Amino acid sequence: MPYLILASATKSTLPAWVRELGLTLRILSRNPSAVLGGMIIMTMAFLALAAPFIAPYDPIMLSLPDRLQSPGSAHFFGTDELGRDIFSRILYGARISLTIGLLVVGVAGITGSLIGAVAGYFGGVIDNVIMRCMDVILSFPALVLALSLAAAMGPSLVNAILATAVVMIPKFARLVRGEALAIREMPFVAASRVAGAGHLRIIFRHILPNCLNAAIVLATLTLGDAILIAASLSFIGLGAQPPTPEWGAMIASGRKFLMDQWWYATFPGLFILVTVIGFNIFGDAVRDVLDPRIRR
Amino acid sequence: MTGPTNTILQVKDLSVGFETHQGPAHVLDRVSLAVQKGEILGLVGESGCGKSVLARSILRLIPSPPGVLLGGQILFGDQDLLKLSEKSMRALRGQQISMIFQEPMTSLNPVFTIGHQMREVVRTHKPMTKAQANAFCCSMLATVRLPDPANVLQRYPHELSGGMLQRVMIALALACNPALLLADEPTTALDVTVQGQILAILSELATAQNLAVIFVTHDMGVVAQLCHRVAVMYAGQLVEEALVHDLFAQPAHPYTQGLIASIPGQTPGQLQTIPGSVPSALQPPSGCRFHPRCPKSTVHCTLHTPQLLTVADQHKVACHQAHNRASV
Amino acid sequence: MRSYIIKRLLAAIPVLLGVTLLTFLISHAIPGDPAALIVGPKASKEAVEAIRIEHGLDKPLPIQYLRYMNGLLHGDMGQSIRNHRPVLRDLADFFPATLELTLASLFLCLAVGIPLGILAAVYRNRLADHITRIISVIGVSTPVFWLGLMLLLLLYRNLGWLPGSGRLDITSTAPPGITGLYTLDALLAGDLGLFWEALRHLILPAFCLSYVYLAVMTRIVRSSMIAALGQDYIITARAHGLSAGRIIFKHAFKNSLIPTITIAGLSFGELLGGAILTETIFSWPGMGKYVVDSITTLDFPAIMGFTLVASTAYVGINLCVDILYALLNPRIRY
Repeated sequence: MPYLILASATKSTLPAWVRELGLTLRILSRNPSAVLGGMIIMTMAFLALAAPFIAPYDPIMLSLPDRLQSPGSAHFFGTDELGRDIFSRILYGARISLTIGLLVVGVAGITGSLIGAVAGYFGGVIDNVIMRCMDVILSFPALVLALSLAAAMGPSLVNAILATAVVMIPKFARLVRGEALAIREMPFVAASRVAGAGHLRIIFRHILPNCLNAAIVLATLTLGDAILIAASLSFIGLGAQPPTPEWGAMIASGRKFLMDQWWYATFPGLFILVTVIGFNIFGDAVRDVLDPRIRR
Repeated sequence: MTGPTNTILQVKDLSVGFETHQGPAHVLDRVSLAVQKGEILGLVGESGCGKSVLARSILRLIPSPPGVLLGGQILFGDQDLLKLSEKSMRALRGQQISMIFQEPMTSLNPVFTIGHQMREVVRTHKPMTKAQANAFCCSMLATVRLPDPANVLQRYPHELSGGMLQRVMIALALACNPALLLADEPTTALDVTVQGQILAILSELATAQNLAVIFVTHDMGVVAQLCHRVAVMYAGQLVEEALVHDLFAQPAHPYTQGLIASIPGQTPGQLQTIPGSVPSALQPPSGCRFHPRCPKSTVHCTLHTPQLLTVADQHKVACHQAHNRASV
Repeated sequence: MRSYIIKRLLAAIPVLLGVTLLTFLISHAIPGDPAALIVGPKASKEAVEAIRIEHGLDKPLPIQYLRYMNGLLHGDMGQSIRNHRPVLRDLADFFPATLELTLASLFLCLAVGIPLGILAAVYRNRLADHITRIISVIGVSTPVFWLGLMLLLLLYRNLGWLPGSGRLDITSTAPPGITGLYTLDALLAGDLGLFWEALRHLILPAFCLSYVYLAVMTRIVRSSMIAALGQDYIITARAHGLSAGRIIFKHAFKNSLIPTITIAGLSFGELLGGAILTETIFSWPGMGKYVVDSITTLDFPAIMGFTLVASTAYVGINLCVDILYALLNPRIRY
């Protein structure tokens, strides 16, 4: 990667990873997609973090006299059937969706990477068995598998997160396995082994860190999908349960009132759309910059 | 000897540029040459000198961004090819002017059979039935000495060797009896033994069909073997032009001298090279473009671009030193 | 070629076995007593116990799996808790509706996605390309269920152009069932009015379902066309005087078909997943709506039956894609 060389050419007392991060950010800042996507993400993150402070109303408190009001100055996005302010609920929903995305990608990324590293490093029968298992998971359409897992485990937000993570694991496993197959042939791994390093140490010190870039690219690209699948699960009743203000669940509730109270289902979906667009655009830009396999 | 009626192609002051991120690159600079009927003209130079661009420009195969026509004419008969409509060019391509390329392995579409692609080309230019096209293609393959032509037609490109594929390409190029063949390094990617076979076929067919050929290459050995006349290019300019015998016997331009000297075997026990490397098309040297690498350059050479002038019978050169010698 | 097909078929078998195993394991992760679920909340302890023994639920797990596989091979996926009908029968009843929806969506994906992709490739980095990219990003980022609701809002409620639910108007009866696809059956029966009605009901859900995968398809076609157009044989074709149309739509396109078909196959599987949401929104009586109804009633045999059928179909489709791939690419046949 060219900027690694650039980084070491400058005299700096900062650790290497900080310098590399700085360079990556600088390259990204010149890419319009990255900037746009980044701004969307940061806006959503800000809304999520600041929700308790900027939400005009309590997201859970009922207020039946105000039920099903159309958008106006008192309630920007109107109210739902229990009189709750939809705007406030959307703000708190941002916290939930972003957390879902991060957790799903975190769990899938870490688990999948470990599985892939083990498969790629040890090779042979272990590799075969693990990869066949990954193939089996990939043989299910994503939502179908997430659905049956979430149904089996019981409807709850945590279960939806776990179910979605399981669906995403094979992607990470395959990626890291491929990298591991290449890395284990490299001289520094052999040197490490000669010096007495055990398998675990090699995996954690050599293989996994070298997969980091590709894994980060994959993580940013799958964040959007993770949010969509989790919202879909909530929509069919398997994820967040009432009164949790999750965007997908809100759309499910809003569906009943769609014809006469259009605002109820529209705004949460709009927020899902924009957030996922943000992650997708940003992810594409990150991939263009970080993926060592793309010729520039 | 070379009256105007014998000239089949005349390139006049052709200049072509390329748009790059770093600005416009001048790839061809006022190149002029002429090709006679039935003559094999060698076009030599190092990689990057513009010889491929010249050949492709004749058929207008250079994509228009990033390629830019900066000036000049290409006269084929009495038509300026640069002013023809795309439709007219298409009628010309493969029929009156044909081209073969360097990489036979990738020159054909891998998902169609050889026969399918040959019939397609043939039927584009001459209406005929599939059966007639098949028969015609078989006879064409026979002229390039491919054994079992009917079988070859049913194969896919990846099933043939490089040499066989190049014969197919030659057969295709000559199917409609063109007047001019452009050969862009057709033997560079082939084994030496196969190379000889291909050159023999080309030479034979050219004589048989009174075909004019522009043979682009960087291999002086091939030039000696095949060509009647040679044009030498450097950094987008034509620097020398002569009959093949004269070029090898008395190369006038220092670059040509360097090229000939660097043919392995010229100096026993050593491999001669021309020091330095080809200049960037973005910022060519001032004056004579070869001056940074020329053992005979003077201050005059760095300031003034030499013109392509005749110094002997059918022998032109663009070098101040050669001009001085000639006029003395 | 034949040996290639056989090899692919054989490779699919362990995958299918894995699918059944995973489905079986998931169904055993369900909390609660499966026997009690089957019998109902009011049953006596003895009745529950009897059911447990009858269904072999007291045996160790591997034995239960073998019983399960045995059942599958005899077409027995258990009984729906809701309506006490065999799950397989239920799924077979609802399958044609889903098939019609999925085929229509796939058709839209290909009919719109391929031309858009070619357009974006030929006019690369110009306006058409940028517009296509924007459509693609939005498509991939849109929640299918929300899109359906917005379409309903716009085209059904506000403009009133298209119907909002079901496969036919409430007052109509289905055409004689030959294929199970109402549009096709209506045509076969010569009933153009019914055909048009079925088509009007099909348009919105099909478009909704196809939108996401259309976006993916466009990007894939674009990048594979760009790759194909950059190949040497394209220049050769031009040098031979072939027309631009022939070069783009025949030579470049056939080469770009290979990644396109692969993605189309994968999309079909995802379409099956997305159908769940679309059918729910549009009250389309297919397998997807069936499984969502089953979720709300915790009808686990139905849910697992659906999972198995959907993933088997997915494996089958990918197998077909592999074979198609070999047909298109002569270098792959080994």
